[in-house]
Amino acid sequence: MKNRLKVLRAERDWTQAQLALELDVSRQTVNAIETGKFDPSLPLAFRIADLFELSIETVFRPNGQEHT
Amino acid sequence: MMEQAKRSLWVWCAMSERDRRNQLRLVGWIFAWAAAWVLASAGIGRGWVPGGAPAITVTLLHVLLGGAMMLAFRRFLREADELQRRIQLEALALGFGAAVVGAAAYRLLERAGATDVSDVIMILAVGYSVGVIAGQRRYA
Repeated sequence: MKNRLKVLRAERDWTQAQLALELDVSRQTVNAIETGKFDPSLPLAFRIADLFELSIETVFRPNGQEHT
Repeated sequence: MMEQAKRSLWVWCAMSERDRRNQLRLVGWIFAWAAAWVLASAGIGRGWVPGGAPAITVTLLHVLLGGAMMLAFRRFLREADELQRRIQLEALALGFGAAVVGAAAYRLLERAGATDVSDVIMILAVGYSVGVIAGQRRYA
């Protein structure tokens, strides 16, 4: 699964640690999601989308589909 | 070696405060349980602890510490971040699989006349540790 987490975080000038704190996960998890090594659970994906005030499909895309 | 140490430090720092605290608590209980096992084993084996009630008491103490260790591990898993839980699950699968396969292999070796070498706990511990290290590296 592809995601725009790194871009969205950079747009808000947040560090991985700040984002991890907001999401109640570890910095390791944020890093693993950003680098595409780990796909978050559906509840965490919704928490991420809510935090950025975006729809879930704006943040996450299946492999092979590009973000518009 | 230096790179490995740096990466381990990064993983430790990148864990949540709660996971670090729970993991340290778990490690403490593991050491207490292992120390109790070594002391009980040596005490009973070498006759420092007489048989009967004293031996049962020492064994019960070891079992109690083992119970505390299990509860600490359960707490660690329940409160763990979802990535950490995935890493632990994969490590446990590796440890469990290695223990089952290793125990079966030892059994065959014993039947073939090899000396008694069965140590399932050690295989499980090594398999689990390898799994945790591999998982931490994979997701670092």
